[in-house]
Amino acid sequence: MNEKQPILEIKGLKKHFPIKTGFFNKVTGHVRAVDGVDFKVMPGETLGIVGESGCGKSTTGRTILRLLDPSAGEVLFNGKDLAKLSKEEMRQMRKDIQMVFQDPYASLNPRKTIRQILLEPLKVHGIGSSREERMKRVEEIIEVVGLRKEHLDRHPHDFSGGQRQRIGIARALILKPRVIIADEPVSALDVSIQSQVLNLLKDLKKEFNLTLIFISHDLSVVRHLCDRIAVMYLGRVVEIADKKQLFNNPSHPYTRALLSAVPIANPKAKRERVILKGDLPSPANPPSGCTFHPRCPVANESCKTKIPILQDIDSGHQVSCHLFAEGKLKETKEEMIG
Amino acid sequence: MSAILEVKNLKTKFKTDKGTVSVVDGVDFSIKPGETLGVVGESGCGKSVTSLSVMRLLPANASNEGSITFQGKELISLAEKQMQKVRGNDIAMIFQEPMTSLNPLHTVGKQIEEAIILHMNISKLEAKERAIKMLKAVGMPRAEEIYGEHPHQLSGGMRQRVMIAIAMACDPKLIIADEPTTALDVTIQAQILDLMKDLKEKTGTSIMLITHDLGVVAEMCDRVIVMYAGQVVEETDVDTLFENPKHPYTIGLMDSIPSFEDEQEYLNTIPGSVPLPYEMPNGCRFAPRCSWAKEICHQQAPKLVEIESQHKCRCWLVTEEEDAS
Repeated sequence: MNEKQPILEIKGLKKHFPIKTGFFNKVTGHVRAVDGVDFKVMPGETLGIVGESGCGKSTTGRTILRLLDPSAGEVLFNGKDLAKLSKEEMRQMRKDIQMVFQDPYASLNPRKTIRQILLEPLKVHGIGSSREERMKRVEEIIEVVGLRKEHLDRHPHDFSGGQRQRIGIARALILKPRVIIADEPVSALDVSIQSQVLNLLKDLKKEFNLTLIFISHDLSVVRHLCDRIAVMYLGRVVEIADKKQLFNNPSHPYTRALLSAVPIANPKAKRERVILKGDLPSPANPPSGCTFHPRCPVANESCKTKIPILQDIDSGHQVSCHLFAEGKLKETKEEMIG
Repeated sequence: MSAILEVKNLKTKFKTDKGTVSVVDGVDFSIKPGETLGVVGESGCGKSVTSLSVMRLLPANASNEGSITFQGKELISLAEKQMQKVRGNDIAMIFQEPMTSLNPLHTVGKQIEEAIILHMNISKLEAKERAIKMLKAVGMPRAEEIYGEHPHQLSGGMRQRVMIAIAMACDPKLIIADEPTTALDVTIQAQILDLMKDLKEKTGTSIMLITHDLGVVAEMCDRVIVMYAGQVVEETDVDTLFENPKHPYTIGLMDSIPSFEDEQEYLNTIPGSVPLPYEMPNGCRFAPRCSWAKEICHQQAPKLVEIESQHKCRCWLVTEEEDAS
């Protein structure tokens, strides 16, 4: 993989939202939703971004697509910095990077038919020379996502959640993008429907040679779908590794706690559970040093002051933790993940 | 041991513009003292409506038939005044959304005290002491301060702890928890499940745990009922459910979750989706989605039959197999 160029490279990405108070909207502070994120995505790869609510995973996705303007950092897509493009240049660029949103009920316009919804991106990007050609493409894509032509003249309310998410995927796919960013695409769906959509994503990825960034809070879904996984905590990536490495040898104390917290559908599975104390601190006022130290079961004095950086511990496996860098944290036992 | 709650042939119907819709159709189950019963199913299977029927919290356009007995007392025909004495005192409920189920205008302390003052004959000062004791029991830091705070000042996990404190305040015999951890992050979910297990061990209450998450079921429950389209399709103890599920729906549900253990390229799926309440199939309600369905499945509705001791299943294939052997 090393000789290949990454299709997407994120460097020092930050997104701070100002907190405004008082009559004059004075800026009194910042919510550091994304606070220095670096990662690379290789062509054809599926990168999972996991973390709990408020960790900045969705903001990261939106900032890459410039649905939110980054406060600092670079987003290199095939070597071109998206953060520096003008609005118009970025609009054209979105043909290559598309997004699938979480809530299939809120992300489709209820007054339009499915045909109109799917035609829209083609019109915006001026694809297809005639109406007939565009129609043909719409009819093709609806079958690709497992719906039928008859569905095209219905409205979103005629469809179930799973079907709507298929339409959301079709809308992203119709432009033949290189990269799709999917933000919690299955978390609003029941498990039996969730598995249908996950299988569809897998198929489409192969068929269209897509690169996928899959944002989710659900570790078992991420494990099923992704090649590489980045774990985020309070606006930063704390660990990034291949799926196997991450699940067999989780190294950051937060990753270990996160993995051990997932309930396993097997009543006989016995395992050591790391229960974290307290809640996620506010990103407006993150703790000093390592932001995880107030909840970390193994933190020491230096964690309160020194900010850790993401370091290689193995090929393709990076961790941001002092203790690991100093060799104080040993390899995890296999049984932790059951 | 006799059951603390016994539900027999419960039918809940709603009057709508499209006519009367039967949402829960002949549900039977019972809960023993100190037992945790899991109720599993996907959206629209009637699991929440079942719990609201037990609490008699259904909206005005709903009607109940059948029998719900709690410690020998029939709840379905109980007068509202009498029911109020049961609610919060004998049976308490924990809801999914801790933000919408707490009153944003009142302090946390006041909301815990409300139930205590209503059901226990004690002074205000004693009630306050009890409220703070409850907050400590659910693992709240700074219990005295939090007593005077409003729900918006707390995080999701803390709000759910407050909900549990309210539910536990009068030492109920049964707690109905409707998706108590669905809105929470996994690390917070682990804290809350741990707390519920701990409290159950200390107080010996029974829990009816409604969830769609089979992982939560495996961790918390003693016995499980699986619901589909308003009916119980399988009932058994938790070990049997995971080792030897019988109903095709249960099997399909188990196979659709991506697991941590095995590596598979594709997940198994259940084709189609849940039938709408006014378009129920004539035969087995799962037959249109079932890959093993035979002729009889489409024609006649199967009954919930005991196939082994303590293991019930509603499926023609399983019952026919029994007859043959």
